[in-house]
Amino acid sequence: MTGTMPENKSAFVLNEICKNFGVVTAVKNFSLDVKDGEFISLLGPSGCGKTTLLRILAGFETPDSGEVLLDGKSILPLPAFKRPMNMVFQRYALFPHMTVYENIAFSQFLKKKPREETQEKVEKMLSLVQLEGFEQRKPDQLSGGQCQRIALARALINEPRVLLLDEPLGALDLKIRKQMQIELKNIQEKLKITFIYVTHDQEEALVMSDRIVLMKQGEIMQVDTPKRIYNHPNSRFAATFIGESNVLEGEVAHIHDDYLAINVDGLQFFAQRTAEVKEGDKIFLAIRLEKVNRKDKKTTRSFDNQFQGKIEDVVFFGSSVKYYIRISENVTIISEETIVEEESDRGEEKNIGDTVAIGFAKKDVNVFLE
Amino acid sequence: MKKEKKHIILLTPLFTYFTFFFFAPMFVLFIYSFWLKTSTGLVPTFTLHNYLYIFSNKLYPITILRSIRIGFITAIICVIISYPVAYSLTFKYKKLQDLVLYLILISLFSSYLVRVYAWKTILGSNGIINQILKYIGVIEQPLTFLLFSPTAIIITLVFILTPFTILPIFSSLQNISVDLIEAANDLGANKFKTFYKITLPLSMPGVITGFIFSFTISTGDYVTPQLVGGTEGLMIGRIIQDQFGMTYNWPFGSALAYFMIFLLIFLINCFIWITSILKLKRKF
Amino acid sequence: MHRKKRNRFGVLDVINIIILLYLLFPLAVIILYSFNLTSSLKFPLEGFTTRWYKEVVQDKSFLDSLRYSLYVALAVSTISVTIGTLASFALTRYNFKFKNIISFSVLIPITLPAIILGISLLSFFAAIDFKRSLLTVIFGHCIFCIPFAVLVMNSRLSGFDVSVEEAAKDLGATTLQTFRYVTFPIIRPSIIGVMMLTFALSFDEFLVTFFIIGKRNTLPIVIWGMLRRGVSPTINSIATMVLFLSITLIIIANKYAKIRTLR
Repeated sequence: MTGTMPENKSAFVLNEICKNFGVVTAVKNFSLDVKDGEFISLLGPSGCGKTTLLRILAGFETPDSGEVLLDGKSILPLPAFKRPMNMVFQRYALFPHMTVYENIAFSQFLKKKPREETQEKVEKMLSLVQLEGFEQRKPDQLSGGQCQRIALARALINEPRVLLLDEPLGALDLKIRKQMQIELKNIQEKLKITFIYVTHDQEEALVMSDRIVLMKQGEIMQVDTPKRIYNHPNSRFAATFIGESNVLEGEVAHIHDDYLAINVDGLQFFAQRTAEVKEGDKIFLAIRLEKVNRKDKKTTRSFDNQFQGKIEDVVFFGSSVKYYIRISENVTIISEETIVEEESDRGEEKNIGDTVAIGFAKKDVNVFLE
Repeated sequence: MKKEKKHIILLTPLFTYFTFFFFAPMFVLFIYSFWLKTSTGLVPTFTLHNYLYIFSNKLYPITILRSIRIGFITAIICVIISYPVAYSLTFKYKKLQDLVLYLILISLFSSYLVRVYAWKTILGSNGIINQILKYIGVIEQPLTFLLFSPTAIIITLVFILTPFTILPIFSSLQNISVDLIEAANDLGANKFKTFYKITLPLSMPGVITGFIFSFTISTGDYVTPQLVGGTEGLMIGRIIQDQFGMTYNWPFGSALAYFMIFLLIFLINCFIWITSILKLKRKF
Repeated sequence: MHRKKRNRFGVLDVINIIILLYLLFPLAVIILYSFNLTSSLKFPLEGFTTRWYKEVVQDKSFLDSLRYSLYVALAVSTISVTIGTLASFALTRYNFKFKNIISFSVLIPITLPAIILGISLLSFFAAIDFKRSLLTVIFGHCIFCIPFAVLVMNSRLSGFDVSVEEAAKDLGATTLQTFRYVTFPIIRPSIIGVMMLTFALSFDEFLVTFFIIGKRNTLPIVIWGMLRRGVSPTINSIATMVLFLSITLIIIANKYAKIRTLR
């Protein structure tokens, strides 16, 4: 789902934005260049400042310091109703006393657009969100997913430069959410509008974004494409917030040219040199669950890191299965593998208590200082 | 900044209005209570004469006590009979809620004066109650204590104030989440225990509001005593009204009024304090 | 799983019926005796007549006072709703110093006995030498109607989802347009409810009015005069008419603006 990113210059620049609410720091030194037509996700746990930032862009909050430039001009002096961006709210915020048509047409009505033109545009929007024929319905007659699509149509009819979305799928059922993720991405690619999308669901961000901005406690932790942020998290937080990782604590034993040797509970691990460390430093290692390979009779490959351990638990996830393998007194590694064919068919069931060998490459081991 | 000061603009009309038509009048009344009424007119001065005068004659303290007694009994009865109705409205008559509520409030749609007057006709020697009792043979002579007595005042005031008392109790019962009650049941409490330990305590704010409201209004009422109270049912409101009427002693009337205000505030605070002690006791 | 409790007729229902009868019985008496042939209180009625009604609607002092009561009530409800709603917005949407004290002081007028409001206003108007009239009555009524307006609007506004207003602004509406096209339509039912409430409170008001009335009387003042003069079924017919008029208005308003119970 990664679209090719056109080499545009930045359309939208955020510079050192800070916002405090009393003693609470909501956003700290937030800087970001957003390209035209990009789908950017602001991802992070609750309270990380992502919604505050979005509201600053929309004009509902004023930053204490910093700049927001659109095509080189600051938009901060503009009140919300004058800004060329539109927002899709978390709880839809549809006008309960207006019909679907009136909701969508509201912005055109305010601009005093002629009726025929508005009608045409509303119909176009409704077909874009696949809700033709819903014009006369009222919001209380719609399901959550339908409300969300109307809210989207209402925001898009204005043809904004930037669309701000505040966890728009949060209140929907899982299945509908996944469906809407694809629909939203399709609409974005079709209309080529810049989307700034706030979410705390890392899977959602991975699926939809061109780039992810990972935030924690008001600050940017990492900005990268989904693939890069997944394979090369730059912090323990990134490694655990996005996807799942095995996180281990160890000490740098030896620094080689292009790799590190690390002591973990008596075992030696080999990792990439992704952090500036000295010998003796205490560091953290993160290994993605699916990068841990369970060696069986058929595995001929050898790995930089190889260990033997006992299976402590096996958890079935439908299309995948997790093995909890204890390789030393204090270290348990989780290995996740997709079920390709039933192991019982291969005659290679692995049960709790069995001894098993695991292996993973040193390029799959990320290290961080904190 | 403009945004933060908006609330001041919004509150200005109210407070301007209150300053002119509430705070200022209350202040003027307070000042008057220290003036003197002489044969030539009102003398602006500062004296506690009026306040002390309250105690010079047995009549005033007795009337004040009687008013408080009547007010208290009225409020207690109001709360006691309002509670079952409010409770049923919340938990039992969910479908008929609107209809029953209107039935309760409907008496408020007719004139207050006439409603009080109606009791005068009902309670009198020739009134319906006595006629019915005579007819079915329970009594020979009409019951005279029914009218022109504190009893009559209480019956009438309870009738007037119950709809007002039902509303706050109903409101706070409605705010009790059904989850709490279901949780209590789930944990083993039967209907009575659930009521006693969960529903009743959580509805106390509404009960207290209703009590204070009916206590204040009934203590200060001057119409009901006049119509159905007779000589035995003289209440302080009547005396205050007189001072601003025929007797024309505004300073004394003001002093009585402020004395009542302070007394009411004191009593209400005592009441709240007592209920909070009782609530604590019930926890153990 | 919800066990449907069958609503059995029990002790509680008996109590409720008794209480309801207590509340409605005097009304029935009033209505009944408004048709009585004589002014006697004997039950059953001496005869049936509508002459008291005819007498009332031809009585000039009644008609005048009815008109004046309507003027006053209309003015009072308009002023109270406006001032009260503005204040309610301030109290429900902003946090500021002294908010608790201010919220409390808004309600003080209705925590005092009406007679106190009456005599204080009388004293005030006398002190500034302001002649008593229907205008002073309006001023007096607003003092206790505004707190009610604030109370009702508070409960409506505190549940108000502000994001619809933000959405409106986001779509290009100025503050005024947001109020006009979004906020006001949504709160309109409550505004109508408050107007009706304050109208009713003012229309029936006597305790405060007694002290601040001028030359022109409101209906309750006229009724009071009739009560002092003696027993007459015309009093009952006035009350009955007011009752049915009120009920009619409520039914109409209910159809027009969904009135929900206190929630």
